[in-house]
Amino acid sequence: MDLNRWFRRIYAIMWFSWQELSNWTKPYIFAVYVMVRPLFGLLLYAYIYIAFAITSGLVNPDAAFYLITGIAFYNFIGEGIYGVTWVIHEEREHYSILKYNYISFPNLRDYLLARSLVNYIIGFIVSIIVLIIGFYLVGLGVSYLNPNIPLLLLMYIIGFIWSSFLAVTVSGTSLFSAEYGPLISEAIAGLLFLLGNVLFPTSILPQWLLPLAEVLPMADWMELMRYSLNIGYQVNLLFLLSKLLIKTIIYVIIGIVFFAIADRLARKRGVLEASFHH
Amino acid sequence: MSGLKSNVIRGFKAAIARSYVRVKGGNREPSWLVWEVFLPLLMISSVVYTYQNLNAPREFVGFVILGGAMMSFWFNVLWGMGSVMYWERERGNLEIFIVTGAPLYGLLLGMALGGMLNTTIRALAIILIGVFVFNAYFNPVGIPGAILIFILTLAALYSLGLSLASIYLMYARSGWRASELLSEPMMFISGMYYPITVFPFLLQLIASLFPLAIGIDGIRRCLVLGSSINSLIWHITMLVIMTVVLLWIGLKILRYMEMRARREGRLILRWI
Repeated sequence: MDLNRWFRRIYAIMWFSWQELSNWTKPYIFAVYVMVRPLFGLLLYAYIYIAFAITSGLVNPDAAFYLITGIAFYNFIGEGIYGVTWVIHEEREHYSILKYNYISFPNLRDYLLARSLVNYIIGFIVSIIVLIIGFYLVGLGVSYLNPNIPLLLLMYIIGFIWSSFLAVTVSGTSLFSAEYGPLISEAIAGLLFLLGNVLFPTSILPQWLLPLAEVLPMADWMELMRYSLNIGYQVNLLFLLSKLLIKTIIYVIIGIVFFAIADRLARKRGVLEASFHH
Repeated sequence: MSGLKSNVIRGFKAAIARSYVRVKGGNREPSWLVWEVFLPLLMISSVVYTYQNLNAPREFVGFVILGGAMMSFWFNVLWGMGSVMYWERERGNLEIFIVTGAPLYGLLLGMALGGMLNTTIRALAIILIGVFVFNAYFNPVGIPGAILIFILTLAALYSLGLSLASIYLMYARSGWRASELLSEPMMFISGMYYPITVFPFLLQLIASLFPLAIGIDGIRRCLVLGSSINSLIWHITMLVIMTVVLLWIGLKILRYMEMRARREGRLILRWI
């Protein structure tokens, strides 16, 4: 395999992705645009804790740590999944360029993954900034910061792998529908938010929802992210890590197989260049 | 027939025609209704469970359900009305509409009426699910007051949508991004998940400039806290003033932006 060529391709797609994301305005406005949504998202959810603390007079730093870390790290996954799932919809329905990109890059699945890299990098930066501001906002002290940096970075990489392949699977459905592709991707992002240990532990969910939460890697990943940020946070490290690795492998396999089938079917039916004019 | 009268009649005819398409198109596929109720419910449920996890007072569930239902109207203003010029232009419909001679405000009024009806159905579904699944309790005595504030809120909100749509007539892709930018800040400043009284004074002052914040607060006071309509005179007055002011500003901006877009040839420009 010619690695140089492969990296050049990835770089070219990342550059294209960056241009598509940002060339509608000046770089400093784009930086503001990227930060406004997550910061207001942080305020929106952090005030849940603040509203509770004000009305009840109770302060619960553990709950605040849980909430802020959940919101911060969700940005990484949410931004990345959006980066994969919107490509097909946007390129086919908005700009009508999917067919050109399809023939200019050897593999549509890898093209989607390469397109999302910029979003994951943005998500990574945003998650760190939101974390710092969130800690300050709810008055969490440095005692809640006792990170294991190598583990934290490893968890970011694992998060990228499972979430991007989950998004690839969802993108497979986008090939056939202008309406349901984006809806399914929004539903997945919403389900990860609800069932992923983001704002509250999944243990308080109704029993019938627990199997679904267990199928998704988000809840394990989020707990491990919290642990890697504060090694005093109580988790069963080896159990969770092995569970997450197994789920990640399964999601990668499903992503590859499902997308390959969807891609083949889409070519057979000739829908790659068919705009649905939703 | 005077020019103004015939313009208004054409405007209303265009509004009825556009709202018909909006209502028919928005409900022709029943599964869309399910999705549009299901997706906001995912976020709303997350917040309800968070409050339950914190052992927050029960009225917070009602706050969240009402906030979530009302927020659907803001999303409809942003994506269904504000960015309509963007979509109509991208699909090539805007130039066809312009050559018919019907005023643009007719198109937007139609989008607003159709959008209100569609979103009301979805918001009601969210409230019903909130009542039956999360045991949210609403005071039936407060319903007339809540309906009055609801109608005034929609009038002010969709008048604001008029200004937004005119801006998108000029700035296409940037307008699209602006819509994205206006989601979370509005959710926060309107107190979607909590009463705005938890904000510091300055933030409460800023929030009171937005019709949605006043509307959500008024409806919550009626349906959750059991306030009488007499105690909500301030809310009603503010919403009436906002409607008049925002409508006047919206029509002015629309006329100006339409002139500019015609002069600069932006009515048929795509992908900008």
